[in-house]
Amino acid sequence: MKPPPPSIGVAQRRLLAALLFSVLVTATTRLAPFPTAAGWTLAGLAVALLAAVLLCRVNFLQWSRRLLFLEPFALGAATLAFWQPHGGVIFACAVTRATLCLGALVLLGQTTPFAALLAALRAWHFPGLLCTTLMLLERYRSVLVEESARMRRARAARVFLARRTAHWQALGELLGQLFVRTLARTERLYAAMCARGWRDGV
Amino acid sequence: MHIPDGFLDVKTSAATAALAAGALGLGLKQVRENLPPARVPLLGLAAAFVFAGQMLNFPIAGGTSGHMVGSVLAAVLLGPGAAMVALTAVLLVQCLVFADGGLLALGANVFNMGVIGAVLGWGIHRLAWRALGGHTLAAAVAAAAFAAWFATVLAAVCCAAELAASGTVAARVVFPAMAGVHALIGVGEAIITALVIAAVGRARPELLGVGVMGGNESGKNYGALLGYGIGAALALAAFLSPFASKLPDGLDRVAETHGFAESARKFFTLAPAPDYQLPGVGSVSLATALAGVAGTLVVFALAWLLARALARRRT
Repeated sequence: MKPPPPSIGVAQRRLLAALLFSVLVTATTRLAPFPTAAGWTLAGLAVALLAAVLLCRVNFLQWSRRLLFLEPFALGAATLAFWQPHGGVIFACAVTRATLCLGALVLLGQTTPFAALLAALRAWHFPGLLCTTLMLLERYRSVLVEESARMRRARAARVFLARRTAHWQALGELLGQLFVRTLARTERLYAAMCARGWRDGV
Repeated sequence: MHIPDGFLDVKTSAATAALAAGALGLGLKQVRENLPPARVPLLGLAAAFVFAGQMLNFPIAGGTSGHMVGSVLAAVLLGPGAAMVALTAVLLVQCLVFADGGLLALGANVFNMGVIGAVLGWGIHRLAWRALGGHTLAAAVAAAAFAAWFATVLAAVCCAAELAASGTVAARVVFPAMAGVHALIGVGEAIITALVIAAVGRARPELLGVGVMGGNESGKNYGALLGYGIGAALALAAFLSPFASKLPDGLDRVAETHGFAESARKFFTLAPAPDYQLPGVGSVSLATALAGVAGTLVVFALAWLLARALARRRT
């Protein structure tokens, strides 16, 4: 059974909490004397994050799997930190900070659907044009991804020879066509919005 | 190029977030003034288009594959302000829904890919288009390829500057590494951008002449925005250079005392552009800088020729 969507206030508080947590984690290594105090602070923040994960009753396995899936990107970027004095320490710091922040972000994504986050942004008076853009992006994201997959499948079903240059050209052609179709879809969408009484910025 | 949280310190995050917010405000204002109501939903759908475009992989040598960012593609098709809004929306969704790119680093990511990538990329495209002699499709395609490559490298250099200013990575390492790798990635971005622009230009030639957003796209309207982009880049450079210049000194000293330069050199032989040194130049940092410039020029020429050839054949 799906839990009911969180209210605007709850979504706002969660977003603020994630932001505050990221600031705390990031500021730790500058403010606390290194290495012991900073290490203890980071450990405390990690315990707080784990407690939050348990309290939110999200699927722990799912949360950790998502975290593990995203971890290589952070590790890859962090390897550049090695080539400087005290590189090992800075590397360890960067990876720890990245992992903690990532954990908080994954938790936010798991507990709060995007619509609730968008409502929170609207309540904070984010520019209306940006909110409308975000709403339409969230609505049509999967539609356009599926449409491009359909076009690729259709091409693969008809084409036997695929050299590398042909692949590039086909990709360019596909995206160009997708854009033209997107324009046509926009015209239909605008007509539909007007039919439902849409006025500028609403 | 999405920076995760934990790599930028609070000071750099705040500075880039302020720059990105300023540019976004200016961009939204430009869009609101120029955009006909019928095109408002296009912002959202164009963002979804960019999102779908980023999910398509193209093959690179050695069984690996990459994907495009689409900053310049969006800027050429929509205009700079609208492209920046669309890319900001994409980055926000990637951050909040997919945890791709950090929450605190969102400002830096919007600045690198939205402001530098789209707005400066659009300016480069306009300049190159004019330099290539005006309003033919071939010139537009070649200019798009050039702008896509250049904007990719510029965004990577900004990303490197932010990482170096945060003290996460030594400036001496991160600048050649990011610029070198993205000079190669940028070629892929340039090819795919050129092919898409050529395809759109053939299917709907009227789109490239005046811009999809209608209204007056002569470039006058976006002059302020472009000025802001350049100003912000200079501000960032001025803000970062004192931090960046401190780090190489420390590295130089340690490299001398511990023979550390040798292992750094070994690392770079593994990189796609091996050996950043030019022979016959005494100072290591001077040689690195010269090699960087030479490499940039070579790839620049390559991208240019490729774009010209592609454009000529396809039109």
